[in-house]
Amino acid sequence: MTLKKVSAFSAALFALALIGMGAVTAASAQNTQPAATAPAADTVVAPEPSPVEVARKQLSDAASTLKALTDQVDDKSDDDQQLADLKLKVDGLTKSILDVSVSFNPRLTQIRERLAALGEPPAAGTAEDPAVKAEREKLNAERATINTVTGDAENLSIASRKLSNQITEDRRTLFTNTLLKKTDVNFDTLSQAASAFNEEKTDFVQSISSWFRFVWNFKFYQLMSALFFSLVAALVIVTFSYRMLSPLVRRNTGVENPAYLSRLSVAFWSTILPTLALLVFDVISLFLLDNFNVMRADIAPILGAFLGLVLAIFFVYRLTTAVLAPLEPNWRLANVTDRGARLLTMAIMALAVMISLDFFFSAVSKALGADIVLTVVKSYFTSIIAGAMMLAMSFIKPIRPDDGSDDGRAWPRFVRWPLAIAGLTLIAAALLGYVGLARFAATQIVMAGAVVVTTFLGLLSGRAIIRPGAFGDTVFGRYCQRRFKLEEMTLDQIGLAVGFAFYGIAIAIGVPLLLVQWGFQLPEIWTWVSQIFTEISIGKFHFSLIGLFAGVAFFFIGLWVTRWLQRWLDGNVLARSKLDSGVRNSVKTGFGYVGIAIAALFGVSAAGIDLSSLALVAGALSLGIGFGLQNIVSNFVSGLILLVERPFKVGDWVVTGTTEGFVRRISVRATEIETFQHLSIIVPNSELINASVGNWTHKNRLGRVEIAVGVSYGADPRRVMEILLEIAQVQENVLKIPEPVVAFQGFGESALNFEIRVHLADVLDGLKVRNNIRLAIFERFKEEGIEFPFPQRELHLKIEDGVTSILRDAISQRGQFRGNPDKVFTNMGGLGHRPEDDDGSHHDDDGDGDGDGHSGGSSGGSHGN
Amino acid sequence: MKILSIVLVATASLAGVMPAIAADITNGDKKAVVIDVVENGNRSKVPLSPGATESICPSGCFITAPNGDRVGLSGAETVEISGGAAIVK
Repeated sequence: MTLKKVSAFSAALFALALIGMGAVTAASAQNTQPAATAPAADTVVAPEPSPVEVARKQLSDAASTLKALTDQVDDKSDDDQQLADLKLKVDGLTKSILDVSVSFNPRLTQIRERLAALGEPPAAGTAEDPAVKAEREKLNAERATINTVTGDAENLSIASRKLSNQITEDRRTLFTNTLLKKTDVNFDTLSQAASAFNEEKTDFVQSISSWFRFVWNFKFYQLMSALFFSLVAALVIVTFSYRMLSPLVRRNTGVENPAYLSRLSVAFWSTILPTLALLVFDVISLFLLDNFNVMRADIAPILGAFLGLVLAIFFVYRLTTAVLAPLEPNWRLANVTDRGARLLTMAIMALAVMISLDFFFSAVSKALGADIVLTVVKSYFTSIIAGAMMLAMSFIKPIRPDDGSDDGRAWPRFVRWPLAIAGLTLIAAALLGYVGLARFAATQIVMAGAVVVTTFLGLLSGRAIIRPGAFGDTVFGRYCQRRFKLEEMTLDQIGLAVGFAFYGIAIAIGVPLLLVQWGFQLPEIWTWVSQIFTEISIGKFHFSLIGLFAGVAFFFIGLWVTRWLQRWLDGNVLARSKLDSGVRNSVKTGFGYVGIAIAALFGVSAAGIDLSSLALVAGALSLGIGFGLQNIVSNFVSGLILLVERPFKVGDWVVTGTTEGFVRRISVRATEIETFQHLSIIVPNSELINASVGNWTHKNRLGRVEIAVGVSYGADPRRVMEILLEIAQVQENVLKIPEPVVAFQGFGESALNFEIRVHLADVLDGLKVRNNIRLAIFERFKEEGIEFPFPQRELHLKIEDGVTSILRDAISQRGQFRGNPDKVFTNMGGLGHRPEDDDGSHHDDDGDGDGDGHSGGSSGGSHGN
Repeated sequence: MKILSIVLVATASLAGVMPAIAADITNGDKKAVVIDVVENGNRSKVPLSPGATESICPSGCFITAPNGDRVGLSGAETVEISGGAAIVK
């Protein structure tokens, strides 16, 4: 049963593959065409019936269909699959009934409008135009008819809905009943089963051989072409996928120690792809055989079950060998010993074969109408054996110990006990007579287990490939790197995407399979999925995931278009408009803001969020802006002002209160200034608006630089000024107008101070020009013999009278040796003034001759020269 | 970036099939009305005060307007009650 569902599932999946088959489409087209044209011909011949009549007819048809369906439901109340199909039909019927009455809506509107135009019927006794009266009556009659018909439709839809609910209820009861039906298996039943088995065997052989003889003799070409086409489809899938994904699918025998990721992906894909191919083969051959009329009513389920049997065994086999790799320990995914892997493979395969065979034989029994007791007995043994297998598996000691020896350890407790308990439960359930339950549980454990393990493998490989650098190490990743010259980073991002895709694929395949396994129907699953995506209601609030996705998508598309337009505008329009770069930047940025705003609006509308409901939020937000977001908003607005007013542009050399440097970026909240040390300073825009900002390169790059020079008092200042001017004039980058100026700035402590002032076309050249000028001055002064003075100091010593005489004596004595007592003596001569005149300070001439700072002026006699 | 754009375009094209969410019924009359709704095989009454809007039957239903008109809704319409009649837009 389950296998059949799986095939049904795959039928939906691979309907696409069949489209390519010319023979099939041609054949089916031939079949459907006459049927489609027949009613069309009828309508042409017959006189046009009124819409209401058509609807009546449709409803009465629907009513008889409903009756037929009700009968069928009663009839098939023991067949879950049939009931599920019937439910789909009933739901379709309900929908069509509704559609009939929905189709009246335009007509109803017309009638209402016409009636309104005709006006209310006049009061009794007043005369009225008979035509108007007649039309009103006619319209009212039609309206009444429509109401009646809609009422019928309403009742019918209630009935059909009830039937649908009843089917659901029936299926539930059926499920519980089948599971919990108690059958005693004793000697009597066994002997009954034995005779039934003999009968069935004869039946089976007979029907198969008669069918086969018939096919061989009369339908040989159809059989062969069906097999051929399905084989070709399967081969195409196998070869194509192997070629595309070769390193992912096949074990490369040359590799000594394959990475975990390769083992994982090989396990996953080598399970999925061949199974898929086999599935395609099964589905297509069944479909074609049915279409070519090779199939017979009693053979179809048997053949279907047989193909399902092969598929299930094959799937479990691929999966087991992929994970356990009993012959190739280096490719093993699970950490088990060689012996453990062998034993486990055997046990699992035995289990799968057992259960699949049970299903196959059940299908055969059902197709041949054999005694139910045979099925029960078969399931009875199957369950007991499956239980025993599980119990035995729990005793296997497969886990490879840490030291790597082949002497395995037992399962961890959380595997071992559930396994043992499951096995024991199966045996117990079967022995107690709950054969249905035991069989159901055994199937679930094996098939659901296989699906879960595969899904888990897919998830694991997704996780493995998401790890940084993992994708680049795969063969495919390396190929991509070579082929598209990708960088490490891009490769890593692709790895992330691939990993998520793995997750998606694993879940998208695994979960529906599991649900189908548990008896849900594909259309039901589809309905759930579409409901999740299209309609989620929380209380009165509805939203749709697709809507949200669309909103996000619209936003990003808007963003992308904005960026593209921005680039286009900047590169093609603004570049030719002779606007300066500041304006260009402003226009570009402003355009970007507008684009983002529009994209956001689009996104919000596409997400189905009502903007009017955001009014409240906006109100609350404005309060928030008043307090908390004040700074942010002020910065944002300041940023806009900066863009419009343009006190500086990107690349300008600005001086703010705290920083000096080049403007690198003007963004929404802050402006980035890079200092000459390449330190980026982020200055909030509001500071740049509120405080004064100096800009060296606001209107132009013109700027003045000064170089100070001091020369000794021995030099001729006029000559010095001439020389300096000459030097300034011949410098490169120095403007002629305004011409360079040399200023005699004053009399320094030890030097005459001059300053060269030159204007530069580009103030950014200042450093270079200053350097050059200084070098030139130095060299020129050397040539001319003009000295740069060292600081000169004149010392005045205050010496007391007693000390003077002592010193004099000492000097006169030592003077003989030093030979120059006179000089000392002479210099001391100036000390002969009164001590109280000396306030202890001495005054250096500052050289500017203005005498400022001579507070103790009266003692000026000590000034030299 | 290129991959991203492709994904986005795909999502956006999905959005094209986005269905409406439920039928909205608004009472445009001055007085409160009660509408009979048959949805999923169940009959129920939905009271609507003047000016109120109610979202009903996402998967289609039959309603009976105050004037006795019966209308089938597929689940995506906007309906206004005006003068006791149900006007489907």
